[in-house]
Parts: sequence; C-alpha cells; structure tokens
Amino acid sequence: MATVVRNFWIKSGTLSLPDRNIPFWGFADLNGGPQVPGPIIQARVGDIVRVRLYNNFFNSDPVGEPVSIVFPGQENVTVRQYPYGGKPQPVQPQYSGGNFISYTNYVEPDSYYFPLILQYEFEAQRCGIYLYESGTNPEKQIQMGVYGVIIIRPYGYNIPSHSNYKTAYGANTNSRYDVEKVLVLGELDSAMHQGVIPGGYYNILNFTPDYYVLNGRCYPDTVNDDDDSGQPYGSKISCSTGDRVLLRMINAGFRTYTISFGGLSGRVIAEGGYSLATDGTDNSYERTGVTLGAGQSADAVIIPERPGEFYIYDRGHTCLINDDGFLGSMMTKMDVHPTP
Amino acid sequence: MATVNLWAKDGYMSTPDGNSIYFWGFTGDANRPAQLPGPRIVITQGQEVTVNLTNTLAKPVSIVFPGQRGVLAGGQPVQPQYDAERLVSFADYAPPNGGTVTYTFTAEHPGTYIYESGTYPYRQVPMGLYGGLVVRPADFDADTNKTAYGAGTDTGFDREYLLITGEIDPKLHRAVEQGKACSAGGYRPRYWTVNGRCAPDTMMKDSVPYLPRQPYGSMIMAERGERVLIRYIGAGVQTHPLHPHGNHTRVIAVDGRLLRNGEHDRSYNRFTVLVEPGRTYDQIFRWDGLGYSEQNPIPTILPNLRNMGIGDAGWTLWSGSPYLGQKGDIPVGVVSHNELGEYYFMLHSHAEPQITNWGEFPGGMMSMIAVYPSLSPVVGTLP
Amino acid sequence: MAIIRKRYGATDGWINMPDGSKHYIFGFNDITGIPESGIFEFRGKASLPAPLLEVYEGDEVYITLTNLGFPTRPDLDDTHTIHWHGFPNQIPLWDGVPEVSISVPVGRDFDYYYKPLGPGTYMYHCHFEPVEHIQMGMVGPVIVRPGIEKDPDYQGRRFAYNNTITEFDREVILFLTELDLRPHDMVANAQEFDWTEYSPQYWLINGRSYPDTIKPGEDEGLPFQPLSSVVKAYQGEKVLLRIVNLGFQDHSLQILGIPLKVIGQDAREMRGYNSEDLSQWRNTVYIAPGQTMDVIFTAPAAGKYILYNRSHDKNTVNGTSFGGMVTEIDIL
Repeated sequence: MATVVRNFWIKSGTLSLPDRNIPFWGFADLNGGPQVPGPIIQARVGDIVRVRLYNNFFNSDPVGEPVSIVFPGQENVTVRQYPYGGKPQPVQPQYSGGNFISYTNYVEPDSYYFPLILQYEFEAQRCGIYLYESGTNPEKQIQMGVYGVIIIRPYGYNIPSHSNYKTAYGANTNSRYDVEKVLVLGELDSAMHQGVIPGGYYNILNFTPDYYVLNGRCYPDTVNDDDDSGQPYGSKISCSTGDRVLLRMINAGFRTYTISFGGLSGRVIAEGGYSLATDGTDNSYERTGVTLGAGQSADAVIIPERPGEFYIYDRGHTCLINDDGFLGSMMTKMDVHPTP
Repeated sequence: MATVNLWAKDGYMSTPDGNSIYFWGFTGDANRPAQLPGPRIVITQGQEVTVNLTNTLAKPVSIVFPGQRGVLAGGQPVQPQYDAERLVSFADYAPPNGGTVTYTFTAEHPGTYIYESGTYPYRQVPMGLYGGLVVRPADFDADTNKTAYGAGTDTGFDREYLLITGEIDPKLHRAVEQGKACSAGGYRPRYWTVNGRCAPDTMMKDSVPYLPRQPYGSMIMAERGERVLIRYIGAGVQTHPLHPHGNHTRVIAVDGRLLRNGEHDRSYNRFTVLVEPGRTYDQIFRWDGLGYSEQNPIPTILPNLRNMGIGDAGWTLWSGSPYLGQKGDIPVGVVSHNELGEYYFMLHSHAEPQITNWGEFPGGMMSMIAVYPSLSPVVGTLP
Repeated sequence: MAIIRKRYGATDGWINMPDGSKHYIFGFNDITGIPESGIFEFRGKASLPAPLLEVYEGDEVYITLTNLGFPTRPDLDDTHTIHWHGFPNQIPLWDGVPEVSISVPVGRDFDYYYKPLGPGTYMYHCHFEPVEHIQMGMVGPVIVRPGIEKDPDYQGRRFAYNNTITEFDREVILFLTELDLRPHDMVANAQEFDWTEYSPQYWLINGRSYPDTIKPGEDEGLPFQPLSSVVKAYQGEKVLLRIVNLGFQDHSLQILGIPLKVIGQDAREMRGYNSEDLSQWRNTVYIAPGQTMDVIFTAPAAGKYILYNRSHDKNTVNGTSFGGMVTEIDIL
C-alpha cells in the first residue's frame, strides 16, 4: 500500500467569471496559486492519504482566518501537529469557552501560534469520489472556494490485465468506463466574495447565489480545456460513440441541483461513494438526470449512441439572464466523436 | 406511424384568485389557443413518431424529448444551435413568426416522458412550453393486458392519470409579455400548478369552459381496491414533495425506465415522492380501506355535527357519513359537493407554501384522490 | 394487543431560541387523564414538537383531540384536526383533512381511531390551513414498534422493523423543522403573512436550535421544547436515527466520520417488490418535507461527532452566530 502525501496552503486569489472577476479562497499546492476546486487527490483503496495543511506564516496570500480540512465520507481520520505534535489523535470538533468554533482541528491564522502544520491522515477504505473541504467557518470558507475532490480507485484500475482495470468500484460493479469525468457542482454569491471580511461572522442569511459552477467555472468557461489558472479543471467531456462515459458528480455547494444528461439516459451505478451493484445484486437504475443535495455524489454511466454535442446542465435552470445567454449557468457539454 | 402537429403560441391562463397570467404554450390545432400544459401525446412502443412544430412566437422554439433515442430534426440528428458561437438552443428550432421544424423518432421504451422547449429553456420552459408524452408498451391492450411496462413486469393497472407539476413566477411572465429582461436569480413563484391549474381548479374536470387554456384536470378517481397508475412529471424548476393521503404509492419507474434489473425488482414504496425538475415518476396507488361499513361500524361515536367544523368556508366534499357509499346529514349552512358517498384524499405538495395561491390557502399544487363505490370504466383513461 | 387512549389538547404557546428570542407557536400537548375541570390549565402550553405517539403494530389507539383555544389570540376561532401522515388505507373521517371530513372547533372534542398494521416512523400534524398550522408548530412524531419486540425469543431487544437486521441498541428522534420568525410574530399580532415570502432564519431539530439541541430534555430555559437531540452511545452499539422532515425545505444531513445505513424510508423497510434488499449506505442523507427516514449507524471509536446540515447556510441562529440544525453524537 502506498502513502499519498499532499501539502496545501489555503490562499486568497481572483476567480474569473464570464462577465467579471471576484476574490476567492482556495487550496494551493505549496508552490502554486490557489485554485477551485482544490488539487485533485488520487489514491487507491488501502492507501494511506496524508494531507498537510500549512500555517500561514510563509503563505504569501493568507485568508486571515483559522483554517482546517474535513473529509466527509472518510472514517478514522487522525491529525497530528508539526512540530512537537506527538502521536496522531482522532480529529475532534473544537470548542472555546464551551462554544463550538470548528468542525475539526484547525490552524490559527497568526503565524506565531503553533501548530505550523497540521497533518491529517486516513486510510482510503472505499472507492468513490469524496470532498475535502473547510471545517472552520465552512458557511463562509466553502462558499469562498475552499473545497476539492478525492478520487479513491480500486487496486488495479490502471493495470490492463487486472479485473478492476478501468472500473470505478472494481470488477462486477457495472462501473467499467472508457472515459471518466469528475464534475464538482457549486454556486457563488458574488456579493459575498466581494465583501467578505476575514475573521468576522458572516451573516449567512444574506447568502444569495448569482453564479453557478462546474469544477469552479461558469458556462461558457466550463467547456474550455484544463489550464494553469485558478480554475484549472475544464468540464467538457470528449468521447466516441459507444464509449462508456462515467460521469462522477459531487455537490460542494449548499443548494440542490438536478443534472440533466442532455436528453440521454444514464445508469446510476453508485451513490455517495457506495456501489449499487455488489455481491451479485444490482440495484443500479436508469434516469435522464440525477438530483444531488448539498454534499451528495453520484456516478452514472452514459453510453452515447451517435456522434454529436450533448449539453449537460442543471435542469433547475439556474443561471443569470441578462441578454438571452446561458452565462453564469451550471452547464457543460459532451462531444461525441464517431468511432474511429 | 403517428403524426403530432404542434403550434407554439401565447395566451393567458387563469388562477383561482382572479389573476390572468401571460404564458407560452403548445397546442394541437392551428385554430386553437395555446394550452397549459401542451397536448398530451400518447403513443405505443415501436411506433415511429413525426412531430411537426409551427412557431407563432417572436423567439425561436424547439422541442427536446429527454429519454427518447435517435431523435432527428429534418431527417438529421438533432444538434445544438448557435448564434455567433453563443448557444441558443439544445436542438434544431422552428424560427420565429411562422417557422417550422419536423422531428422524428421511434419510441423504443414504454413510460412517461416530458417534452419541452430546448431553446432558451431557462425562460421558455417556466413560461409553459412543456407537455407530457406517454408511451404504452407494445403488448398493451386496454381490456386484456393493461400494464405500464408490458406483461410480466408487475405494472398492471386499472385507471391511470397524468399529473404535470409546475410553478409560475408572475414577474417572469410579465417581463416576457413586455419584452423585458428578467434575471433567473430572482425567480420566486407565487403560484404552483398541476396540469397547468391551481387548486381548486385542479379538482375540476377536463375541458371546463371557464378555463379554456387549461384543459386538463387532476382529480384522481377510482374504486376501492383498484390499482391506479399515477404518472408524475416535474416540468418546473423546483423540487416538489408530492404526498397522497390514504396510502403509500409503489414507485415502479423513473424517467421512463422500469426499476427492475432482470428479475430483481427494485420498485419501492413511499408516502411522499420528491419530484425534481425534468423528472418523471410512475407509481401505483391502491386504497383498500379498513373494512368499515354499517354492518362493521367504526369504533368511535360521531358527535353531533352541528358542534363540529364541517368543511371550509361553507363547502365540503364530505358525504356526512363515515362509510363509503353512504351519505349523512350535513348541517345547514354547508354545501356538500359529495356525489355518491365517495371518499376524498388530498394529494398535495408537502412544501406547504406551494399549496397556496399567492400565499392564500387552499390553492396551488393540490388535488384529490376520490375513491368511489362504483365508477364508470371511461374514467381514468388517457387521453 | 393493547388499547391505548390518549387525549391531546390543541392550543398555543411560546418557545425560545438560543439568541434569547421568544416565538409564538401553535401546538399540541398531552392532557391524557386530566379531569375536565383541569384541562384549561393547559391552555397556552403547547410543546414543540407535539407529544410523541409511540405504539405497537396491532394496538388500538384512540386519540381524543380537544381544541383548548388560543389565549394569545382569543379572536382566532380556527378549528384543528389530527392527520396521521402516511397511515395506510385510512378513512377520511380520521384522516384529519377539514375539507373532506370534520375539524374541531374551540371547546370541542373529537375521537380519532387508529389500528396501525405496520411498524415505522411516521408523523402527525394539524391539517387546518396546513401552511400556517404546520409552520406554527402543530407537528409531532409517531413511532410504531414492530411486533417482533413482543416475541419472547427477542425479549428485551429492539428493532425498527420485523427483521433482525434492523436491530439497534439506542434510538433517537430527529424531528426537522424550520422557523421563519415573521409569520410567528405576525400571527401573534393578528396580521396576515404572505406565505410565498417564506424564508426561515432558524433551523431546528426536535424544536430546538443548536446549542440548545445538546441540552438535556428537561431544561428550565426550554420548558415547552422537551426533547433533547444529543446522541450518546458506547462504541460498537447500533444507533437508530428516526429522521422526520416536517419543515418546508429539503435538508441534507451529514455526520463527519460516521457512515449511515438507510434501512427504512416513509415507514417502510427498504425492500423491493419481492423483498429485494434495497437498504443503502450514505454519507449524506437527503430528506424532503413529508418524508421520514430510518438510519442506523454503528458507534465508532470514542469521541465527539457532529451531525449537521451540509447546506451550511442553515447552520445559524438568525444569521448572528453558529447554531441551527446541528447536534452532537458522544461515543463513550
């Protein structure tokens, strides 16, 4: 079993929307800039995942608040401090004067307070896609962009002779794919981003999203390629006729979305990181779209039968209308090429 | 071969509180006004369907058929349409002011489906450009083999109803009527509809003369013990938790796909089914009762009805008797609309602001299931 | 089978939020066995949620609903009903919908009868002007226990359904609602509220907002909110969460570090048409208004775990501090 190690800051940066730019907060690799979603963490079942969150002492763009990471869907997460940390302890919610202040162990913003590094660790026990996200003032920090995706794969997913090759959940789980795409759903309240004050309690009743994102970008930016920007992941899917396209969708936002598969029917083969087809029992089912509440995820296999363009979008039709465009909306597309 | 001719038009729909709201809708005849929802299309599995759309509106309109395979427009596979690289439509459209487009497809799966505009859908679908499409299984026979998904699928039924839910934000409709911009971010419905009507209009029959643009009622009627196939379509942009009183429903299919993998039947029971935007649900409802009658009386004593609250604002649907098929005395001052001693069970959204008309109860996304002692066989058929 | 007789009073009252605010409510309270001369002492003392109705399948349950009136709104002559949400094959007379049966005016009584034939988690609420009476608080939980618990072979053990895989050690009700202070304030002052403007500022479990959710059931600062939501268990025990949504919004709940197994939904075991096992594991459970869910988890390593609404904008006390639809799970 391997150990997957990631080293992150949480930094402030600028996010690009179709009609303007706004500030955001996001995870950054040590030598990089902040991005939303954060850098993808990949591991195989049985691997140890070790995520180190660095204190802002050397952070060039600190967000000015305590920061932490929670790992919904993972069990037995431990944490230890560097330096002087001792043995890893189970993560615990944090209190001050009897009042709840954080969902998990956090790092203070002031560079003179220890710990300088918090090392979170867990064993990747189950396949699936999961979020890693802020556990401190999450109503503000997750909205500001402090979230990312963990992909846990079965052993052998990349070994052509292995029965788990190119499957999301292993052999006999109906999860074999030719093309895989992760879509992280979210929404943005531009007024909150413009006006956020680090350290203060944000009146979250004012939360009014006006932009909707897939992998941190609004349409039409969603259909552009991956790049080096603060929103590095494109959402366009490229495949061929007859491919098994695995859409892996996870909702990092606070609202509910119904992702429509462009008129095509897809088979939902896993929900919440749990395979629906296991031990010979197949509880998978087909639909033309899937609904994800806050924090929920689903994996669906779509097999396009003819070439063309198919738009994948939120059927709740959340978007900004200023002049008959789909600007600001939660939408991407699947380009299906003829089989070579 | 089935041919469906549709026109996209505009018109005004009525709400029970006296509002008259501009909408866009499909209609099935060049001389008939737009209707909300669009005409019901009922076809059979395996049939090739041709849909001719004529668009009288000032914006392009198209139709998409989620769940149908191989849809062609003008003989070519449908594809998204752009205006100077900006996406306009998910499918080929009929140009404004009289333009046409012809779609063809073969209905391969039985089930319940939505058809809706794919052009500027964030505006056109809430404006009313949607309707229901029912595909019967190839072996369907109204007398000998009445099932939703074919013989051997455990989807037999006795009566069937189609309920299409939606919302109306008058601000959006007024902006479109006046040609102004309207931000989807400010979407706040004030009315909720079932088959284009707000309660209590939902409980009226099909084609009541005072609702010329809203031809479909939603009163579900059946006899005791019958299997009622209730097809839900969520045509709006909100989620709606629909709750029938009287019993659970068995959800047998979602989005026109049977919840069954070979012999593994994963249909399930719910007393509240959440209908999300663009989704369809097929379920079977059945009320058997608890066996009470005058020969097997209820174990409680009915108090003097003059001491009780009877009905609401002077009317009631109650018969005055606890027993199915019986009528009792209703106190003076209350009108009973009960016909044959039938039982009524409310079917409604449990997000209760949705069962109001602009905040006033009763209204909105609400109808009834009426269990009759006996009922004509022509009730509860589609179309 | 047992014969259970209960008498519930419908009246009004006041509840408290962690920011010190008080809010006017309607609700039910339990006046079973109170002599006629004493029932009016219970006016103005509704609890949120309403009293838990807990019975066994096959029991015969008689509930007398008595409308005690609203001391704070003596002008308001609304009638009340009890609707047992989801009761299978119910007849309209006991279904509690005023437009199709009867409702109970101030000072009157009506007897409801239920003989539940299947176990599960249900709810009851008033169905007169439901948009108002439900939000105002006339809502309560119902548990129907499975007959297997009476079987001598299973003496002392507890189950959610008649299936040994639904066995549990501890059971907690999580009754979800929201509170929009504006209609509560307006109804107290005889004003009308436009229900299409509904937008809550408080999110509640068992009638309380965190941090009150973790206080014990009996708390002198919360006399009319008698249920605690804190979950305490020993490592390895199976804990059953009976989740009921009688608010107007969908809710997404998570417990960090604890996977959840959904074994029942809408008072039915998760089984297909031929008893296929449809139980599902989840990290996040999503529940819409009018639904119930039975979720079992196995208590993990000792420590404190937080149950919260993943729509973090709901974990607030009127936008001023952290709170809302949050509770704690203490594993010992």
